[in-house]
Amino acid sequence: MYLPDNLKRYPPAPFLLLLCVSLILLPHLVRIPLWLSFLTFGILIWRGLHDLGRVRLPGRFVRYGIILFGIAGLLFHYHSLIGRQAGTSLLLLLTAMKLMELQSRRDAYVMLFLCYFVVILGFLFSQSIPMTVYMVVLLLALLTTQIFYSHPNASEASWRQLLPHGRLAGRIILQASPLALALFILFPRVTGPLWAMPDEAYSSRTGLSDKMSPGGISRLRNDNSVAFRVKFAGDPPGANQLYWRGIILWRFDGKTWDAPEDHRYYQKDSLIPVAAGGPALDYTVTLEPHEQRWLFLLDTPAVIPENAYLTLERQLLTPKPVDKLLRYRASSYLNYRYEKDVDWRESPRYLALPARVAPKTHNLISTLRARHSTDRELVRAVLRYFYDNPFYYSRTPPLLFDDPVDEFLFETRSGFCEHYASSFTVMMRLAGIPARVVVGYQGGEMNPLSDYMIVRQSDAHAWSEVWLADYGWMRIDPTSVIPPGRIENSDDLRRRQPETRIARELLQQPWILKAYKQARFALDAINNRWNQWVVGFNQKRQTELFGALGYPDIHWRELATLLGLAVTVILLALSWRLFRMPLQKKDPLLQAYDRFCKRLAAVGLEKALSETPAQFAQRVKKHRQDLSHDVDVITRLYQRLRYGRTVSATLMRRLLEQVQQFKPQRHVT
Amino acid sequence: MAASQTSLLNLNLQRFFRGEGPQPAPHTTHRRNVYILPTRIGLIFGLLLLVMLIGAINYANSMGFLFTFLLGSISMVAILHTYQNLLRLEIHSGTVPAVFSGELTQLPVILDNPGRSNRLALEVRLAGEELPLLFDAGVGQTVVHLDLPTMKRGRHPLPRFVLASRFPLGLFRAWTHVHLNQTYLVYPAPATSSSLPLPSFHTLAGHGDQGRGADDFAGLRTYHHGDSPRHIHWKALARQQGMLTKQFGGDRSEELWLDWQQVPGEEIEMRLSILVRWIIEAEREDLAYGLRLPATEIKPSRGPAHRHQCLEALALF
Repeated sequence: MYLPDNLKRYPPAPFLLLLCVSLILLPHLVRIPLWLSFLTFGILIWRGLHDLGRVRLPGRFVRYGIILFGIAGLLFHYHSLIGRQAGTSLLLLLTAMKLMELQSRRDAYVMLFLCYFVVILGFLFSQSIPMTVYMVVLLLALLTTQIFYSHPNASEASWRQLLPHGRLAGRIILQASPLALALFILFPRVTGPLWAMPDEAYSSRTGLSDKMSPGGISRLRNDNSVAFRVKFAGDPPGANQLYWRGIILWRFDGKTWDAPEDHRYYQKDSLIPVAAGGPALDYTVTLEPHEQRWLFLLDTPAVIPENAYLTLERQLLTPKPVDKLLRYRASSYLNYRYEKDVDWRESPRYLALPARVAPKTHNLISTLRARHSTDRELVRAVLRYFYDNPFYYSRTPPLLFDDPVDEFLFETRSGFCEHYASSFTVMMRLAGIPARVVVGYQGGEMNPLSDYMIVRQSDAHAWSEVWLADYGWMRIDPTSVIPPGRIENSDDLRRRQPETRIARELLQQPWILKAYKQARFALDAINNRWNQWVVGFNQKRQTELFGALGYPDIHWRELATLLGLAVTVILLALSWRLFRMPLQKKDPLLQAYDRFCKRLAAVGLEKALSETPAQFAQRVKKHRQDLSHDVDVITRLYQRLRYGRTVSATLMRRLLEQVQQFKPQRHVT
Repeated sequence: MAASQTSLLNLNLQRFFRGEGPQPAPHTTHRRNVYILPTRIGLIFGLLLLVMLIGAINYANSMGFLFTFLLGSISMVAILHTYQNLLRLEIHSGTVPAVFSGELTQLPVILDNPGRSNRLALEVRLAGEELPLLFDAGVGQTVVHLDLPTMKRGRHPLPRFVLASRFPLGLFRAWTHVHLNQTYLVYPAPATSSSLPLPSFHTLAGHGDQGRGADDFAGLRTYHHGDSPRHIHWKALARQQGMLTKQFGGDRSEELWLDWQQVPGEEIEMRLSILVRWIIEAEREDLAYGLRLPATEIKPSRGPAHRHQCLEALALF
């Protein structure tokens, strides 16, 4: 069969390719614009119909038209063609369009390469275990398709090759994985990007935002996804100490708290000394990507993590949004005092309020101020006010409209942490006490199957910080004064239960509940390992790994040498395995006859290649009359077995016996 | 010193591009005569891997690294698979059927695969040809026929051919040059049929009973291999009397001599072509003929063996 380059010669391959492209598009569908999803699937269907012989492929003008239309649409949607989202969308469009001009085998290969590229782009969005498993399955499908394209075979029976070719693809992946693993561990990693990609507006932010208004945090109450995981150097602190400080908001417009970006950062070494009662607590945080710049540390940070900045509010920021798993070492003082010497009452920064905000609250504070002269007493009085009056803590507080502070304090009196933090801070400012809102997480649960703490989005919390002249900044959590009896849905576990009723009823059973919790913790432990050692494997981890193996401060040159060595050894082992090819097993009949010939050769009677068994037997008998009976029997058996019509196990056994017993002696004539 | 190095280099390059020169059959592939290089597609794939690696570094994306490394490792494993696909094969050639110059003959390539695995997607092509012949070689023996155009009469060395494979991923191409030290024969091209009639029998006739024609029945004798089927006594065969050949009397058939001296013209090739045409005509008319060349003389006879003997003499003239 001459002429290889025609797609008709690879019958199942186009179908497989179409399947691969569809599977590859699937995880991207949620991210790309809806019209693009429809467009790409339209193209896939078109191609499928073409392969079935139903329709013709579009001409060049139509193709270019579709591409131009797609690019225009993307520009309209993203205002750019580079960057993660827009770039991926563009590549998906081009991949689908490449299907329209698939003519030759080379086109098919290029198509497959595009597919590999789309697969790797998927990892920019998710590096989770399920995603990885999906990608490996896709890789298997793509490799199988590639094998089909490398094996021209015009017959319809090629479908039967699906299993062997798939197996070959699997074998190739398995054989390649030790090498890939060695490369992954030993390839010298560099820190920092080679070039900066344009920042983009991420469509799906998770977690906290940089503003706080009523309802902003409560929406996270049902979000059980992990915000970050913490591994403590020693014992974890008590639950009432677990305030994970994140975002500090100091500007209030009557409804919403925010913090306009200011670019004054403290220098690393000029971190204001913290008067602490007790040693600093060391721990490591593995932060899930949240596409924002802030880090979360226990209140209050003692040292600044690497590559982070400290703002005026002692908030820690990274230079660029955290778009992948970030691991940082941190250290905190649980008992602290700072900025006692700075009189914040002289600055409007933490005192400013919009004009005519919350008049009723203003009156209330004036009354309280008249009774309590010191700031400390006033703080206590305001907290007392929350405790004494029927304030409730609710997941689903009533909506607030014109003046959230007044409405909450005097009408609804039911709210979530942001209502309390916001109202409390406003009350403090009305009393002339510098105050600000802190948004972060409160709490966390230890994974009983491992040694780390999980902090989830549902642990999101807001509280306040006030500045007292005789103390400095002090953390006040107004929500914490609400007595347990006035907390709706106080059961921490219940809010994490699946929403369906059957599941909830099932979980009433203690043993199911226990098993469910165990399974969740086990899963999270696996995820944590994955994050720590695979997704979070970077230069630091690499150095740590070799440090643990007894090679501290390994240089990249040594790594490169090791890498070369490992690759050589693995490839040699692999080629030894591959090239040591088993030969065909010889036919037992031939083997038996060979043994017979060998024994005769040993006594000086060698069978010539040109001799037939009968001729050979004749010659042997002429030389050695004593052997003539045995030689006759064996030759006849051999001939019957070899040329006879039927296969007989009995005859075979007899031949083997005869050959076994045939032991000619060298005799002197 | 420098000169010997250059010649060594030349030798190696020569081996790389052309193989080792004619070798006795079988050509057994082993690590020293199988070469491998990336295909154009393989180079594009390498470029893609580079882009992926730069992307993974830039985004410090661990799974990106892992996937890139996995693809890179897969291509390295593919080198081994492609190479292995050609290793330990025994290649020899069957007899190339002799044809007239200008006709297409076929070179039977015989492939012995002693391994237990199939060798898929093998390509074989004559050196200098563009399109390869594609086939799968199962366990045991596989025979494929390469089209071999002929140009000149005579005995020619077998041309070099290339056995190659890109299986399984198409990223690499392994090949081996097969140059067997065998020969094949090409007869001279026959002259156009109408140009010259057969020489007249009568002038060539020697002695004999001239009264009886060539077609006169003379008797029966037992069949010899090579006798024309037209002369088999089929009726006797049907009566189960064995294979008998009818013999005809007459002088003409016995005495047709195709003589170099009788061929008109001066040019050697032209005269050879005319002799070939006469042999074809004589065979068609089922005449016994002899060939007389300046140095050789072949006694009159008929049958394929005789025909081949005559044509060979002409081919090698």
